[in-house]
Amino acid sequence: MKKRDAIIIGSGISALTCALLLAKRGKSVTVLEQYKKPGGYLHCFSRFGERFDTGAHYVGAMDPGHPFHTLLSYLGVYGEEEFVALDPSGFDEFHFPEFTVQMPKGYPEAVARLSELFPHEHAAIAEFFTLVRQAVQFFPTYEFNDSMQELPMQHIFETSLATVVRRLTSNPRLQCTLFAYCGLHGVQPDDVAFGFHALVVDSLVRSPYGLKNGGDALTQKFVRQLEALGGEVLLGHKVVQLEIRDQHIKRVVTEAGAEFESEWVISAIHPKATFALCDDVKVFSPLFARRLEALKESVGLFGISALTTDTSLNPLRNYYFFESSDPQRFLLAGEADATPGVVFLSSARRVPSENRIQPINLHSPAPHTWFSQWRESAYAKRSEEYKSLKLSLAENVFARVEQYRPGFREQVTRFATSTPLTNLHFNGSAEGSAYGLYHSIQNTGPRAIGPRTKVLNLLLTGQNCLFPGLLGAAIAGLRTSGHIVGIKPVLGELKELGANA
Amino acid sequence: MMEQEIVSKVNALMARGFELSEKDLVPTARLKEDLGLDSLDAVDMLVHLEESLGSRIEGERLMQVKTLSDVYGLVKEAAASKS
Ligand SMILES: Cc1cc2nc3c(=O)[nH]c(=O)nc-3n(C[C@H](O)[C@H](O)[C@H](O)COP(=O)(O)OP(=O)(O)OC[C@H]3O[C@@H](n4cnc5c(N)ncnc54)[C@H](O)[C@@H]3O)c2cc1C
Repeated sequence: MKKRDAIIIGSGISALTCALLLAKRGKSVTVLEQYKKPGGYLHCFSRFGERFDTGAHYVGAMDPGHPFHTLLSYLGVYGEEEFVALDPSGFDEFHFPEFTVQMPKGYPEAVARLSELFPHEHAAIAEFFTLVRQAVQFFPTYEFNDSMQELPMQHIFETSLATVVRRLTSNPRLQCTLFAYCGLHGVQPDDVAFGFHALVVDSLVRSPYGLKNGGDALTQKFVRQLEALGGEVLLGHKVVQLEIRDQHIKRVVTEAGAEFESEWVISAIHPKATFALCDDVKVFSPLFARRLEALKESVGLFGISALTTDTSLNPLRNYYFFESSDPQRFLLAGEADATPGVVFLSSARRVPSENRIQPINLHSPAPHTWFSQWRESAYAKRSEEYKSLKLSLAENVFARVEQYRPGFREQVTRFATSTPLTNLHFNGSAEGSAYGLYHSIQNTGPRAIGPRTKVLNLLLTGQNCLFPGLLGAAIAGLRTSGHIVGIKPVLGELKELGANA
Repeated sequence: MMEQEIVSKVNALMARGFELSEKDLVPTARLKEDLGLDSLDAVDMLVHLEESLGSRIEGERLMQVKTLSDVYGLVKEAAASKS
C-alpha cells in the first residue's frame, strides 16, 4: 500500500485549499469524496436550462490585494473571468418595514450611508466599523500577518456582537442593520463572537463579488491545480472507518472497502461525523464525548431556484427582506406555516443579459425539525405531503418578497425547491445545516473544536468546525495546513503576494 | 459559591469527565504531569465549567493554569464576577 503524506476527507473548498497548500509544499495528497462530483457546497445544479449554485452566491475580500483574492491567487486558482464585482453603490439591500438600507462598498461610504439614515448615530456607526477593522487585524490567517507576536486576540472572541452593538447604540433599527449579516453565518447576535462576525462584515464591505460561472468552475480549477502538483481527488469514496492504534489513525477505509494509509488525516466533514468514524472511542474523554453530543447545528435553509420576468431586480445586488425591525426577533426562522422572518434573494446569473427572464435564488431559514419525518425516505421519492409542504413554504417566501415588491409572485414563471434534507442527501452535512455547527462563542476562537484532536495525526478543518462561508472555510483549510507544513512561511508568502497585487 | 462547593464540583467533573481517580485530585496535582491532561482537555473543561456556571472564564487564563488549585481559583473568580 502506497503511504501518502495526507488523506483528506471531503472535497469542499476547505479540503481543496488545504490539499493545495500541502501539495505546494511537496506533500503527497489524496482527497476522498463520497459524492460523484467534487466541491461540496460549491456544487452547481441545473433547472429550467439555467445554472444555479448551492452555496456560492457571493463572497468578499476579492479586490486585488484583498485576502480572498490573494489566497486564491497564491493557490493558482484565481481567474479574473470567474468573478464579477457587485454594485459598489449598493451590493446588499436590506428591507425592513419602516426603512431600506443599501450597503455600499467601502468603509467611508458605508459609514456615510448609514449616517444619512441614522443622523444621530453617526458616532456609533463610525465606531462600529472602526472596531470591525481593528478586530480583523487579529486574524493572522486573514490579514496574512506572519510576525504573529502573541496578539491579544482573545477578547474579540469573548465578547458577543450584541454586547458591542448595544454598548454603541440603543436604536433598534440601527441594531438590526448591524446584525443583518448574522444571516451569513447563522449565529444569533447574542451568541456570535464580535471578532467572528467582523470577518464577514469586513470582507463584504471591502470588496463584494459574485461568481460569474458558479462554484463548479472554481472547483475545477482547484482539482486541476492539485493534479498538476501530483495530488488526486477520488470521487465516490465515502469514508466509513478510521482505524485507530496508539492514538494514531492507521488506516482510512471507504464504503467500497478501499484502504488508505497516510502520515496525516485531515477531516473536512462534521466533527460528530468524524469521531463517529473512529473505531476506538477510548482516546476521547467522556467530557469531550458529552460536548460533542451537545453541539448544536447552524440553521438549515429552504431554497428556491426560480425564473422571473422581473427586470427591475439588479443582478449585481442581493436583497434581504425582513419581517420586522425588532432586534430580538428579526433573524428568527419563525414557524413552518408562517411567512418567514427573513428572505434572501440573489441573482443566479450575475451578468446582466438581454434575456427578459432572470434566474434567481431565494433562501429562508428552515430548521431541520420541519422535515424530520421524511428524513429516512429516499431523495426524489418523498411523499406528496413533503412536496406540498415545500410548495406552501415557497408561497410563504414569495409572500414575504411581495410585501416589499408588489407583483413579484406573478412574475415568477417557474421554480424548484430544496430543503435541509436535500443538503443532507448530497453533502452529508449534519441536520442538512448550511453553515456547519452553530459557531457560537462556546465553539470559536480558543474554544473551537479542532484543528487538533486527541488522535495525534488527525486534524479537522472546514466550516463544520472552524469558520463558515467560502472565505471562512478556505481560511480554515489554510489554518489546518499550517499544523503540518508550518504556517509562518506560508503567511509570509501570502503577505508579500498581497502587497504586490 | 463556597470554597468547598467549588472543590467538590470541579473534582466531580474531573473524575467523571476524564475518568480520574478521586484520590489523585489533590489541590497541588499538576494537570499535565500528574493528571495527564493536555490543552484540548483544558478547553473541554473550560467550556463545561462556563456552561454550568453561566459565566465566562477568560480563555487565555485557563490556558495558563497549572494545578488543580489554579482551576479552583478561576472558578471562584468566575462565580464571584457573576453575582
Ligand atoms: C444554501 C447555502 C447558501 C450559502 N451561501 C453562501 C454564500 O453566498 N457565500 C459564502 O461564502 N458561503 C455560502 N454558504 C456557505 C458555504 O457554501 C460553505 O461555508 C462552504 O462551501 C463549506 O465548505 P467546507 O469545505 O467546509 O464543507 P463542504 O462544502 O460542506 O464539504 C464537505 C464535503 O465532504 C463530503 N463528505 C461528507 N461526508 C463524507 C465522507 N464520509 N467521506 C467522504 N466525503 C464526505 C461532502 O460530500 C462534501 O463534498 C452557503 C451554504 C449554503 C448551504
